[in-house]
Amino acid sequence: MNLKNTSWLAPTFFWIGILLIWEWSAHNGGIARLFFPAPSVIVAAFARQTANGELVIALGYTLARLGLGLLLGAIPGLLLGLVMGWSRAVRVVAEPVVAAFHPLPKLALLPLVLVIFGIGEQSKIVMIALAAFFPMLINSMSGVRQIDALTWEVARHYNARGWILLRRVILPGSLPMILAGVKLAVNVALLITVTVEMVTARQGLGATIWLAWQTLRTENLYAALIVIASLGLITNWILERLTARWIPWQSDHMTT
Amino acid sequence: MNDKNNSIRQASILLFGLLALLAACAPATPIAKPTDAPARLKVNVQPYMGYAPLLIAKEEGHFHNYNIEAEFVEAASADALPLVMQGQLDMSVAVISAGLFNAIERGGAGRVVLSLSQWNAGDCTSTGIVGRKAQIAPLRNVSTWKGLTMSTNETGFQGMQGFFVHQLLAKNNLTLANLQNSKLSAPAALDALQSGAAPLAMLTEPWITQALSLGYGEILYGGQDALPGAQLSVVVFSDRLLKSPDLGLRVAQAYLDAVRQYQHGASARNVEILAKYTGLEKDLLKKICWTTIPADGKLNLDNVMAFQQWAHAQGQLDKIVNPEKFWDGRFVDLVNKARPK
Repeated sequence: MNLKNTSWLAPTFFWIGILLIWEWSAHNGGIARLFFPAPSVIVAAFARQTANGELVIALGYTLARLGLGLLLGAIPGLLLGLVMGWSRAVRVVAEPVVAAFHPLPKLALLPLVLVIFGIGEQSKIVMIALAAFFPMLINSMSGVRQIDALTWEVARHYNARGWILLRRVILPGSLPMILAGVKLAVNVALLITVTVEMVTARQGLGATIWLAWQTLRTENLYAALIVIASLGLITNWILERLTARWIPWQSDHMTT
Repeated sequence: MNDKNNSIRQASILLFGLLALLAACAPATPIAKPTDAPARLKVNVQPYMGYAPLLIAKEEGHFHNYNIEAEFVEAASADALPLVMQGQLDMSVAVISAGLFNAIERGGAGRVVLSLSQWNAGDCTSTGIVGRKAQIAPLRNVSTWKGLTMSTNETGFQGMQGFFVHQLLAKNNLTLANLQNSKLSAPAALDALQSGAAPLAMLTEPWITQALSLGYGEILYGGQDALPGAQLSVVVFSDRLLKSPDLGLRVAQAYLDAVRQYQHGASARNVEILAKYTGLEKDLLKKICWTTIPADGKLNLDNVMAFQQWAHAQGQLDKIVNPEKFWDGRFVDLVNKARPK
């Protein structure tokens, strides 16, 4: 018997069992339906909100903000990180500033960001960009710094500079850390996007969650959480595929 | 002699037996003797004026007078409501919102038992729409609001403030969809008012007074103008208090004693208590508008039902909940019956 082909059975039955117990308990007063509506009620809410476009529109807003924030935060983070990893002079100047700003809770900056960038979309995008900037910067800098000294020596020996050095030495050497940084940046940016939407927005998945909580329609809250969790799963799956393609020796498929 | 001794012994035994029987038949100790351990309550508060009666009740010893020990738990009203419905809190302030009625309709165990803030005709403005001073002339005409941004607190156009704006707009053939809404903290709302980013701001006290004194804006409409008699917030009891009539009554008495004291307004003692809890300057507390809280603890049920109809039409409410289901007036009735008019 091929165990590999049936290995999905146990977890599947486990989760189906959990859902059935949840469903039964919700209908028989075992758990508070107000806070833990039955899975069938959540699925119905999810289907209804998808059919009437509410969730799709909310997802659209969230993705647009997330995409823009990542673009404006992760790319500068990547570039500055590479430069800081490469150049000691830049690192000496910039590292204390990065060390001071990175641990700041980004949400604590929201009132200030609102005053500086205004109350519209700009301030939301800036918050997301700030969240994506630091993990990208730190990982790409670390990626460059962990390149083997011998590799730098060989590059110097062959007089590799500028674009050649970047393309042949820096990018391939730091790519595993850069991709790990992208993963971190996407996850943190998604977290901040939803949180900022909860606090300040009228549209988006975060705003949907907030409204569901305000009106205590918890099935709508769970439906939005399903979308956010799926979004996280899909983005991580895409990044895993990219990792497997670009640096196959680092892929999970290679590990035991 | 022996017969006499025997008779005395028998009489003594009979007497002790009778005394023992009498002791066994004696009534049980009353429940609320002053020497009893105080009843411990978990009460939701926040350091805002809207919680004034609870803050006064604790600080002035009104809870203590009824042998109650109130433990204050800080949580936002929207977060506290589920906790009181679930019984993790004994008592909470709740704003009139779709969430309150949805929670009760869906089996939440709490019930509304006492009134908190109301807007009444002729009141000062404790909640209102403030317009940007530089644009104040056109802003006085609601029909010019189309497309403008109004800042609100995090609840946006939900709850009574949404109903309030809706009423104003409806009279001018506008709807909530005609306004942009920015959910901002009060300091950010003042900044947006000054810069013009949000020329309209839904503010409460003390921020209205701040906006006026800074010269950023002027009051356009108070809640009492658009919705006289509106019930803004209420007190909700948990299942535990609802099922303990004696304790529930004592809590209601303590609360209404505090409301009577609150009605003295900015007295030196009230200001002192509220300054301590809210962190506001005493001078500011003397200047601001103190919202009406009815001394009899009764709700304006007509307004609550009108709100529910609006919220239902807006799609916020599952179904309209009848007063018999959300309002428990037992405690208020008992307290009012016992008190001199």
